[in-house]
Amino acid sequence: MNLAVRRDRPIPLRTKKLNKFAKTNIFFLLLIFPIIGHAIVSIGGYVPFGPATQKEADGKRNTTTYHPMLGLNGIIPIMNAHLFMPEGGAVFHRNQFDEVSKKTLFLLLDFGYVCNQEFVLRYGLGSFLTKIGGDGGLIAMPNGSSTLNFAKPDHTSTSYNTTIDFGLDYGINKNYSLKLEGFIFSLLNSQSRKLSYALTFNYYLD
Amino acid sequence: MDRRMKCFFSLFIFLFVCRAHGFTLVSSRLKFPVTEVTVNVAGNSCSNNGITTDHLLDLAEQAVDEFWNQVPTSKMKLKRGAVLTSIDVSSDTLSLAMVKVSGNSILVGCSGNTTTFDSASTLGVGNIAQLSSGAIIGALLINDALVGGSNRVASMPDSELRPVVAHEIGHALGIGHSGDPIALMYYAVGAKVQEKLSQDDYDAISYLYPHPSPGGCGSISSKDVPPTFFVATLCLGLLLPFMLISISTGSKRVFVR
Repeated sequence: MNLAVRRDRPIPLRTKKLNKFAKTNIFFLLLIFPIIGHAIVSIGGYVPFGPATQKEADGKRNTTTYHPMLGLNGIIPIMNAHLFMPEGGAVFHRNQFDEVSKKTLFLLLDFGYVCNQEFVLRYGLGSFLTKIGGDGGLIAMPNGSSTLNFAKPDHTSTSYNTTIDFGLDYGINKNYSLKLEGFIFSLLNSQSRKLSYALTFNYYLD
Repeated sequence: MDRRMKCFFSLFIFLFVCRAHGFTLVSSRLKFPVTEVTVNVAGNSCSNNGITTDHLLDLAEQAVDEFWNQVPTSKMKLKRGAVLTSIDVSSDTLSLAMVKVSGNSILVGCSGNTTTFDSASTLGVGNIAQLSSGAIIGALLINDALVGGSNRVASMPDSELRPVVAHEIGHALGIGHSGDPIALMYYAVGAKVQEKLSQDDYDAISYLYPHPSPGGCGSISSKDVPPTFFVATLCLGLLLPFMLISISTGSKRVFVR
């Protein structure tokens, strides 16, 4: 794949519905990525805190229930087989109920080591923003043998987390690759240390 | 858009899935103004369900450690307190018990009040409140009443009691019931084995007590200023050296597939 500088093709990305924070960061990434190297679009599934969450009544863990994610990557050669591979993107959580909306935005500052022509080892730091909100109001829900009014979320609340990232990128051919990456949250806290992971399919724009 | 890009984005649309989520909050929308809350136990004994005060304190500690303290996207940390021998909630309703709680803490106790526990199926009650002083407090009562000559809690093993205590602590934190049957905050236990929080429980506590920005902004809602400047500066600082290296070394065919 050619690492030649490309300035002639802007990367299309809709940012209308994203908030100011996301717009600023995506705009920043759009400015940087086409200038410094490859631009890659990735789609796939993100499993937040998979084994640490329950998904069945019998206690079965949530290991494979994914949420769709979309990312934009860049590849910047540093020296020899080492790469800088920043990535920005969003996870679109799909909910059955209208009460709660959730979105995760992430920015990864990953480095890569080219093991061979097929595999690239990734590692680095990430920043995750988890936005949870709702439109407010009350909802009657079961409470013992009767019902009781409970409040629905009425504003958007954002959690910020820094992660340690590690993963492997497998090149299928010159246009596509498959990436498995893990994100360790709260590394220094043994109680809340959790692993999220994502499997993405990547398409090289140039 | 070429055919490959169309296929690529079609795959993305295909990836959308539906999952049941739907946490709620207590109707008062109260929450603790701090991110570290102490869980204490009332000093009265639980005469009918056979739980000692020390055992109740252990159960409360295990409940917070195995459930609510596990969430990395939440800053709330619950810590073990003490048995408060001066407090007796043995015949209290929840509202009566709440006036005995000190600010920024949660009180756990056993009550045999038959108005609160008029049915054996009610295992516990919990809520959050604001005292006239403005302090936020939480309280939960475990069923110690004899209904029909028996007490259901007495026959429950610790593995089933812990989620019950954790559920009521959830209410004491300001979380309401969930529409997700797998969630800890679902209104009924049924035959469910609750070993972990569901994603909906994670969302609930993360919504109420979000993990703040590493930049120290302490943002807890969209009304606060997001740390855009911090992240942008971090990115720029990290990217600039690599841009310079990239430009100075020129384009190389490093990442060949």
